[in-house]
Amino acid sequence: MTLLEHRLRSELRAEAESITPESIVPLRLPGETGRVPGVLRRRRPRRWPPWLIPLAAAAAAAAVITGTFAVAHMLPGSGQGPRPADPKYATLPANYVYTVQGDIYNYTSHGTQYSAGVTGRYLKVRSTATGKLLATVLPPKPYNNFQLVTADASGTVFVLGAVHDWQRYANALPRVFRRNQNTLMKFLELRIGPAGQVQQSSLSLPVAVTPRQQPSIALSPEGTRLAVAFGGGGAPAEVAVVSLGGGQVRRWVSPSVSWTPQLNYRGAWTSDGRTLVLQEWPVLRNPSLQALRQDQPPAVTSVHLIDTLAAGGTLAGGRPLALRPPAGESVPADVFITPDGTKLIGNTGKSDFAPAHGPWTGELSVYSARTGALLQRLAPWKWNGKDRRPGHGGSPREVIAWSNPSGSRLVLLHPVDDLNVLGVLTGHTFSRAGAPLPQASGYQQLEYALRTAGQVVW
Amino acid sequence: MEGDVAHLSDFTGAPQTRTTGPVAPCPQEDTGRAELSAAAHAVTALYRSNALGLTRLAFIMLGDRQSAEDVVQEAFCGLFRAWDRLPDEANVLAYLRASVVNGCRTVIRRRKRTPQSLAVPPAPSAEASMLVGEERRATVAALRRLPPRQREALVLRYFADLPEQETAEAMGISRGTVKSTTARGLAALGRMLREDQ
Repeated sequence: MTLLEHRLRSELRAEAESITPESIVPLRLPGETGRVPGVLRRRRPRRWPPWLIPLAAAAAAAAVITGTFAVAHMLPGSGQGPRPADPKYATLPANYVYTVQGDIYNYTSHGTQYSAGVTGRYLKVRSTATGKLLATVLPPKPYNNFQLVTADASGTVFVLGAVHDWQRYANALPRVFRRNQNTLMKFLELRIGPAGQVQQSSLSLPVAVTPRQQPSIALSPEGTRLAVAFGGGGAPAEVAVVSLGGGQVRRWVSPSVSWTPQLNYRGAWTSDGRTLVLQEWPVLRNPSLQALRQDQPPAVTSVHLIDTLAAGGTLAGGRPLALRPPAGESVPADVFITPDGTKLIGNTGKSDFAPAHGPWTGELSVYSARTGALLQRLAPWKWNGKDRRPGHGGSPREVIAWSNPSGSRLVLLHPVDDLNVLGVLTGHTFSRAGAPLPQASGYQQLEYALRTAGQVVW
Repeated sequence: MEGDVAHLSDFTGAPQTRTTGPVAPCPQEDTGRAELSAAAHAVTALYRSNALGLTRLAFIMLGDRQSAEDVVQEAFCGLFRAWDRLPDEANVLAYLRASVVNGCRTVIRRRKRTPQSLAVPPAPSAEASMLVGEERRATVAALRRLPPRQREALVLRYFADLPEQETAEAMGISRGTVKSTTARGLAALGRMLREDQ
């Protein structure tokens, strides 16, 4: 073999290794009808007999009027009709969804090259108890990234937000991509039946958002209302609560704020579907390496408890709380409200600001949802900076997956030695077994999803 | 901190839902479904063991991951549809490889017909050079400038490590033509790489 042949072989193989075994998309075979599952297809318009059109139009108008009237009475704060029962939070939700990460892409912005990963190339739906795979869902083409995912409290309704993120320069080398931040996001809804059958539909929301607006979403516990927060960072910020079954939306608009409003995709609502937690997330306007090096942990973060039933309420008139971290630590992230609405729990620690080689520490900090006072610190972990990092040399992850009504029992992923493990925290006692954890393969699948996925929701 | 906030209520634009039917579980994983046909099981098993290699092959040919995945998916769907008519199941990998090569040709033909993006890619930064490797980038760029047949021959011979006979079967040409096409491709590639230096 000549030198050229040898070079060709080794360099083509190195180039091909950018496609990793884990990133291979699942096979989608045509069904009996020849349709490929998971792909949205546009239907061919039907031809109706001409005499049927006025009748159908009249029936549709009657249905819309009846439906709007019914939903207006079901929407909280807009009528006296019955509301769905509050979830009990006695067991884990029936199903969960997790995103499968994709490739890392190079892109340029203002002359500097960056890399970013695809957080949700596709996602999987599994049964909590058995770990059984119920469906694999891909974003409808040309959308290529599930950036947002949220769920109701029972684990039977999920809302997914897809972005058309990466666009290729045709036949261009080197492989630099254009980050698309301006195409409107597309939302899908998944409903899972008792036998595990998955029904997918597209949602057309009366709220249009783009990735540039830093959106976040949270589905209410009963699965009928979707909260969407976006904007800020020097532009108006907005929070909208949309009724999925009807046509109503309530908006809270705040002109030109420096922060961006952030909803946690898990634990943003109280169990009665009344209070919504929103965190002010700082936005760096002109990030530079120098500024980042000089950055210090912010001293405080503000959260808003929005009473979605209060008439005429505004963000400014709500209940902003200042949450202060334990001394020298970063402010709480991923703030989670307990279903009874009495406590706020967030991740705090020194990992983000400590020297590169540790020691890193962290814990869950519990705050009063009434005063914002720090009540207690739970599930502490420490990495000494020398031995292998938790998560097999990756990152230590503390993730709250579920809480009972008062927050006295949590299911979470927690760093133990060099592993992130799934367990139940009762008071200060962490255990890898016991109610409401699933057993056997259900446990293994859930732990794997929490360790590896960008987002795990239920 | 919040500034003035206005509360707007009772927007009347109704959200619309469009039901697109049940999502079938992916047959790639064992979901306990008994209704999967024997063909689906066989094709899924083949996909598990060969998808990575074939996707890489298509990616090297096309330089575009998404198109590569589409070509491979289409090849397996084609295999699934033709399963009952396959003359020789033992030779199924050769069938798949030929489908992928054909699919890549179709993609390249389409690209020639459709206008290319006018966007000019930014010059590679020093960071990018470190990441990708100057030599590899030059080799891959030169390979993509070759005529399609020469590119196919080189990729199948040197990336997929196929002997001449199997390369000929995948490309649908004779063994002698593989030899001459490979030689011409190597010569052109060497010339381009010398010119680039």
